[in-house]
Amino acid sequence: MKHVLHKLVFLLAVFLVVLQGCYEPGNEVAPVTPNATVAPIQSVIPSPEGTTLKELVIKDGSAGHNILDTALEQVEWKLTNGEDVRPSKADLLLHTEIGSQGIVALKIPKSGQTQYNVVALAKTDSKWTITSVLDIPVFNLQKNKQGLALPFDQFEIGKQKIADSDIWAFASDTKLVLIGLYPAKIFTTPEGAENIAVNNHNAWLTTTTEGVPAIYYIENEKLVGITGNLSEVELKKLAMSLPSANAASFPAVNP
Amino acid sequence: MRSFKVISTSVLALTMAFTGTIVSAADASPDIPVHFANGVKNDLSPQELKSLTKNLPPTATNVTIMESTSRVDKKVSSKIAPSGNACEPGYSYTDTTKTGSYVFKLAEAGSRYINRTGSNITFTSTIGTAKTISGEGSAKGEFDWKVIEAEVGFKISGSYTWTTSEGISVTVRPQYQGWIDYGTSNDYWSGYYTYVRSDCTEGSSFFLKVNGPRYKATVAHETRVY
Repeated sequence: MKHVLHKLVFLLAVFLVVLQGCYEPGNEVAPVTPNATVAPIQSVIPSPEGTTLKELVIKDGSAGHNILDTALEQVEWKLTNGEDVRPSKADLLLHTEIGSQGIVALKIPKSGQTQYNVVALAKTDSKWTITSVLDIPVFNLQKNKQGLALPFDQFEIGKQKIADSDIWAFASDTKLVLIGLYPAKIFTTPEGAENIAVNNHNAWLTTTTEGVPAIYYIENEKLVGITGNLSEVELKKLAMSLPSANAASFPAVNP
Repeated sequence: MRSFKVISTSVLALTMAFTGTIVSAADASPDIPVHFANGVKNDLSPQELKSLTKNLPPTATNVTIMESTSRVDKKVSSKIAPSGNACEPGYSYTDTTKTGSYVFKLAEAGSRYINRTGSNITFTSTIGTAKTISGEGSAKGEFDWKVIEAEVGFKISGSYTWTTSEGISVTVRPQYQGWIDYGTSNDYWSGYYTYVRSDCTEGSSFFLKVNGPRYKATVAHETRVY
């Protein structure tokens, strides 16, 4: 019986070796075509039309002390045409830093459709880490502004809850607006901010390093913060149209 | 005798190990949680809940029900009471079999979100195109959806469209990738589209398979990345 088993194992081993031999690369002989011409390789830049985001990768990084460097270092995109894209400063739309909460908004380059990634970060022990990403392809557009003085007629809406704050993003092909509702206690007055009045509130108008305006005011222990790559006039108009921070429909005026 | 015992024990052990692997693979998936959002009522039996999740791939981590299709009053009988020999003439969906219950049908898969950091990241996933999933019928002949709905008990001809503003969040663990499948949870039926005469005899009929959405649903997935 033992001998039979040994024979079987041996046969199996032989069979496997033979099988492996059959699959070794180079076993097939390629046909030789004399005088065959090789077509010149042309480098074709893939058309962005129809190209969309296939994968969003958040990598580990070491640039944690600066919020912008952190986002630029850790975000990577793979598009449906196979291209790997890293964000550069040119793709940076705007950013906010409120206490230990920050947002960096990026626009994905080389994509066939306008697409924004709104990256939320948190600062712990002076180091920024990415906590969430709101991925907004601008494709199916809405027209109902619900009473808000938005600076475009058609837009996409995205919403993200971050810790005990809520962020709404309104995006068109060229403009991105962020409206945030935060707990008031995390706010410190930004340096160099100009005092303005918004709906009888004492508000602060500031400009980010990207040259983008931002307005903040406190209402009923809540901080309202709005920013976007708009003009100051457009942003002020939007701020004036906002409902009370306590409104259940916030930021919509007429839901 | 001894060698026979050795061999039979080894064979038995091997068999048990082999079948043990198969059995544990089949039963390995724990119950996938189903969350009812937007005020949709959970009125499913435990069996129906299991139908919702049992055919999902092993990468699925949870299901969210977004919207529900309206129910339709089922037609009890074509017979006109009190006499059993008189029927309301018209079409009926007869000899029916429910061949699938709450089977997930994919409309669009969202982008993949890969987390290579050391802590959880929440991604709000949206899709790039709007896709509609509607009720479908297999037959080439024309039929009235209302007749089918009176038998299956819900608006099977309905449709749901996914638009990019309906983002759903998925929290991805370190060294994992997550994504959301957008689709519907469908019932599948087969039967005969039959003409019932006023004397309750059956006239022309043709075989008809239908399927349609019970719910608009999303399925969150997660796999390890290396």
